[in-house]
Amino acid sequence: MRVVVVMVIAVVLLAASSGCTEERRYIGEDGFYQVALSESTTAAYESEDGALYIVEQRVELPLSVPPETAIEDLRQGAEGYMNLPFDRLPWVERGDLAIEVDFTLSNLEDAERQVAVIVNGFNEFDEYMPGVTVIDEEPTPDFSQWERVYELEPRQRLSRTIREEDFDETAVDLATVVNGAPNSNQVVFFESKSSADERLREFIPPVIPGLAGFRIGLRATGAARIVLDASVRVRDAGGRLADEGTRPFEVNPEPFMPVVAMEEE
Amino acid sequence: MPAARPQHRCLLAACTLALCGLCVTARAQRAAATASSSTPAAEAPDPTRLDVERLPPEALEVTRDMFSSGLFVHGHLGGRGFVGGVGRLSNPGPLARVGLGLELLPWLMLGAGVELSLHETSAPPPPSPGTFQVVDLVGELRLQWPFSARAALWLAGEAGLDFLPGNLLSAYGLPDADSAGLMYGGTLGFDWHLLSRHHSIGLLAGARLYPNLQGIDGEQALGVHSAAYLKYVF
Repeated sequence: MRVVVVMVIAVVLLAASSGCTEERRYIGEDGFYQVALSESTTAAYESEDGALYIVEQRVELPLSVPPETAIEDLRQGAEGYMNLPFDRLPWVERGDLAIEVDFTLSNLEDAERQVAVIVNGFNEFDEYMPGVTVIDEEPTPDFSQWERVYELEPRQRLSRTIREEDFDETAVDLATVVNGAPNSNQVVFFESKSSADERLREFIPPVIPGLAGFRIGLRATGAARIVLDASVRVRDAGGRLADEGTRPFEVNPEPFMPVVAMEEE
Repeated sequence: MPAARPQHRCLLAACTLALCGLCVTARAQRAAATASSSTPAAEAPDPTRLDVERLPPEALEVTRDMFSSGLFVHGHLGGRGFVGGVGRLSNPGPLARVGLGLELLPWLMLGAGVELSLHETSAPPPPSPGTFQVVDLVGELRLQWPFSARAALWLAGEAGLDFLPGNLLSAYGLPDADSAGLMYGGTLGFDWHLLSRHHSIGLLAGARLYPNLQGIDGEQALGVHSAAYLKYVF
């Protein structure tokens, strides 16, 4: 009898370990995304004093379609809050979907190259679109919501991970800047954890939309042959991912240009 | 205290003498008995009872008929690795199985079971190394050759369904790994029955073909497994 009990427990553990975990899904048609700078890439901004090359790949999360009555319920739910920067509550809230990106940078040149990996998010309402500010006649890009600069050796290949916490910060930053934060670059700068910054607390809305997707890309100040391969894993903590093969929820976010605080002359 | 009367003293002395006499007699009888046991007498078997403690141990011959047969359950612990296909992207990992079976004949058994193995990827990123599970629902037809009372060899033909929760392998370019697939193969085992009606232990090794885990270039994936097991026959 004892043996039977042990067997039953083993079966239950087997079932639990395989079926009762949060879904983690790799998205993308071929399982990964690719974006590259090449010799034929045209400059996003060019002047006599410099140029900026930016290439991006848009990654849209396959969100489940809300039930017919849900949108109206979300609209009514927003009436309970003062000064929300959106006209209804979000279908995907912060924490519903946790995103993690693994990427590999490959320098195809026989020379050292410097390149920045940049990520900018969007939710159901807004999409962060950093621009270029000319300072002393030099084009200076606004900070992306997540960015790191890498010095690549000739033919070097390196791999890094953008963690779930980084994307969570991105979601909070996006909601904060569209809610009237005076200096977007200060909010999104990757080393300022604005979600815990007392000075920005008043701009963090009471409801924070989760990311519906993001753009990942490369930024360089000169022409280069550099390839970025990225895999995107989504952990569906809130049950907001569409079933595979079904039509996803379409979102149409408004572009949001950063508010840049300039020094007074 | 009053002094004992003369007639009482005489009675006490007589009793003491009588007790001493009894003791001497008993000691003499024991000495005689010890002397007589040094030369054992032949004793005829007692036909009225089965006095097993007097039988030599080899008198009870163990045969397979003494063991239970019929419905059985078994649990395996071992390992599994893949050769080719998904094996180029993953490391061997631990394997567990629980199963149920029926002994139709001493040489023929039917069984079914659930297997789970865990594997870590070992492929160039992205994505960074992760783990995936292989879950098998296996049916088997087992032929057994009991070559001694306690030992037997068996060979099983196996077929079933496999599926992998999650879609990690699709990020490495194995899209078929997302869906359940048919798999088939065989296992060879050695079974050793314990001196118990119900229990036996054993070792096994085998291989199965997993068509849905083939590589990007179509290379077939062969899952190779081995395990130790405990079997309980009801």
